[in-house]
Amino acid sequence: MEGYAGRIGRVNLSNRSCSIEPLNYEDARLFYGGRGLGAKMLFDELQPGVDPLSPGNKIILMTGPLTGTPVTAANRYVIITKSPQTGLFLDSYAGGWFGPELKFAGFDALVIEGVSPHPVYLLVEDNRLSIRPAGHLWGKRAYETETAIKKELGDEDTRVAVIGPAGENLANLAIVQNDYFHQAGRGGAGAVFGSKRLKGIAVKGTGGIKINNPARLVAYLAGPVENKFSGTGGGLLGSVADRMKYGTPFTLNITNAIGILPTRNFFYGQYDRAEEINAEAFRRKVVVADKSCYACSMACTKFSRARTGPYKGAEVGGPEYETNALFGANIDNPSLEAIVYLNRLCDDLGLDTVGAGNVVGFTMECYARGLITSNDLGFTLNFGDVAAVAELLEMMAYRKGLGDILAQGVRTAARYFGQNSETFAMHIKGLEYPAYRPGPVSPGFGLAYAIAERGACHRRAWPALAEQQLPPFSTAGRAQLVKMLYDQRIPWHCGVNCDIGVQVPGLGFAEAAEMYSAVTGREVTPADMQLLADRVATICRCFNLREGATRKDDTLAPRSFMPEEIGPGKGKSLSKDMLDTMLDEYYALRGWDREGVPTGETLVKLSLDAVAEKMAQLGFKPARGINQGIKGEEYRGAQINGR
Amino acid sequence: MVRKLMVDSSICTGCQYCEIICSLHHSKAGEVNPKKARIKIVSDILHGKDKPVVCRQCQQPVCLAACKFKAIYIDTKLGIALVDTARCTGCGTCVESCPFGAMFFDPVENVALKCDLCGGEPQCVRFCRTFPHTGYPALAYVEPRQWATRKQGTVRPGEPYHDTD
Repeated sequence: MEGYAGRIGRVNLSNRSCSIEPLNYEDARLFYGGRGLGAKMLFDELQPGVDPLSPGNKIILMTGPLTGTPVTAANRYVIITKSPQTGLFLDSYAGGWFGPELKFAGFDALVIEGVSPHPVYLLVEDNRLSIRPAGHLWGKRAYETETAIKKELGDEDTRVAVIGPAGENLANLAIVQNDYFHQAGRGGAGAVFGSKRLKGIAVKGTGGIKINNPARLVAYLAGPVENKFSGTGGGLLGSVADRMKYGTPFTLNITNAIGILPTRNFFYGQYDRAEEINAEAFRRKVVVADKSCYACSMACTKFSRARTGPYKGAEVGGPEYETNALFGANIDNPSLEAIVYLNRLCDDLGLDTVGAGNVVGFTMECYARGLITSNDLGFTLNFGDVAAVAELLEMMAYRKGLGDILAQGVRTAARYFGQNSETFAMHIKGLEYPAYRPGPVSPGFGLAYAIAERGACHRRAWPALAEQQLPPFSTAGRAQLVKMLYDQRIPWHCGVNCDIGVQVPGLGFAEAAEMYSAVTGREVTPADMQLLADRVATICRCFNLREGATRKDDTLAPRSFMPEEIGPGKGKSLSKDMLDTMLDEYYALRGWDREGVPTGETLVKLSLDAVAEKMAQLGFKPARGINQGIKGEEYRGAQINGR
Repeated sequence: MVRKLMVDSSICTGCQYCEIICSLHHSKAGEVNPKKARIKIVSDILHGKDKPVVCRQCQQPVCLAACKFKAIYIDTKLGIALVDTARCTGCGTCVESCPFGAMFFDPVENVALKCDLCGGEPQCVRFCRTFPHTGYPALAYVEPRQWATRKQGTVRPGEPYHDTD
């Protein structure tokens, strides 16, 4: 099959061995690549119950058969690992140029195991892997590190992914950052890098990617796909023109109108100063230029600069909607210039802006309620105080003072603070809510969050706009909608393509099937895409079940069940019964039982026989309690003390 | 008047579709490889700048004059310089000579790579996106005079577009 590089690089940092394995094409036929193939490899290779920060965890960095090809937005890679934040399945994606470059260098995937005795970075060059010392880079911030590696290798065109201080210090909120402005942000992939003392990965490739039928692919891109771009688009994520102009921050206009924009730690769903940080304000005040990732026509990376105020001169690729909402409305900060500055700071420190924004909002609420004081922090932390937020982020990345606790995420912080703070700790399975607030006006988002295997996640299904067509304040049709939206993304998560780049123009199963066929030469149909989606959703579920997650974990933070104070849903609430109803329906649609365990027939139907066997050995019962990161403390302690 | 590739760096997003499609179009093996493209985006990601480097199709090509092996000739149909790969020795003199840095090199095939305008239908232009809010693509295959008119006209109606360094 064309499209694939045909090789997987395997690196064991414990004994410094590098090897190259052929891609398993049988698995590639079933799971395609990216999230699907990565999930299969993680399920097969990881010992159940392994601590995410121990040498036994692996970093599976996947591309897909479409990555690096001309297919729309096929620019991503995905890090598949066991998340230190949730103890469950993690797939964390990033765009830019790193993924395509890995293909050009001759690899579909990298598997990184063990732990290095001292800091290193990995160099991938045209079918060669080498481990290089990174002692001189350890401690450096992310932007500086990337520049230093490029300089050291003497090639500006090298694509580099790195971690910042947060990753080195094993913060659960740590990201992997590549090509300066692109981050695999969620779930703590950066901490897994840090636990292996892997500062980064540099990739240079001069090879090409073979396309089975270039004429067919180019004609399809220039014809039907182009029509989707020039038409009104898919409509489910807003119009193509709006997304091109405003990027993801256009979402803020939508969420504020619907009443799901997190404000003051998710207490409200609308922000009274939203017009100061909405899409139009964003474009007017800070956007300098439209930038793209590889092979993308959306150009949603808006390069921004603070032009006025105390943060004048701060520049960043972004900020994205999530950052605008969580470092804006959620901490009651109406300054886009300050958001640009905080975004750049988070990137540099190696912190996830989504998780960090959520944690900061939570900490501010704790401060407002008197659960913590300026004595605990060393400074005051009122809502909207940007300077204090910057201080707090530094403390988190370097694990100083209270930052040591906060860096582990809002679940750990709530446990530490106690006093009922868990009722307003906005997380699911340990992963912080992104910037959508499930509630009576959006029960579907509640379901989408609850069933996401990596914890609270908006990138499994995005029902924000589509749900508005369904009966309000009801569960009607939500399960079907969420499953449909979830499934539609899977071919692209296996591609690996960017959600925005393909979902905004409304590219679905038909387009995915046609482009897969043209690239790989293996004819697949939209029905095959549906099968792939069910298969991938189910194997990810099996991984989580094996790690001890149950139906009980498919829930929302307590605040999401409270009645609305303001907005379109005022006085109404999303009840636990409603969530249960939606979960029942969703599991049934998936062919899972009432506890969310895939039935034997479902596994066999999806050609997951080997998975069924392993699950049967475990009695289809949770093997152990959900990993709470408690064992992780031993490794954290040992690593930090050992340096 | 000869039409050529014209560039507006201020609205180039750096998506590399031009390089991707160029490399695929010219590949006999059906391969995508932006490093073998005859157009190159020079990017400064950190400062949000992208500059497409394209062949200027000089009337008196410096590359042609520099070639000691007569591997560069003027094509009669389009009136532009092309590389005769059979004669090209891969010495790289033409690459060094180009004042625009728009002559490229394929280290595997050991030949110079020069923009041939895809025989009059440049594929890079075909895939260069026109954004509704800017109204123009970053690349166009036009007479230079038309381009000049565009530059002086209402380039980006409505929206102020900031590129203020």
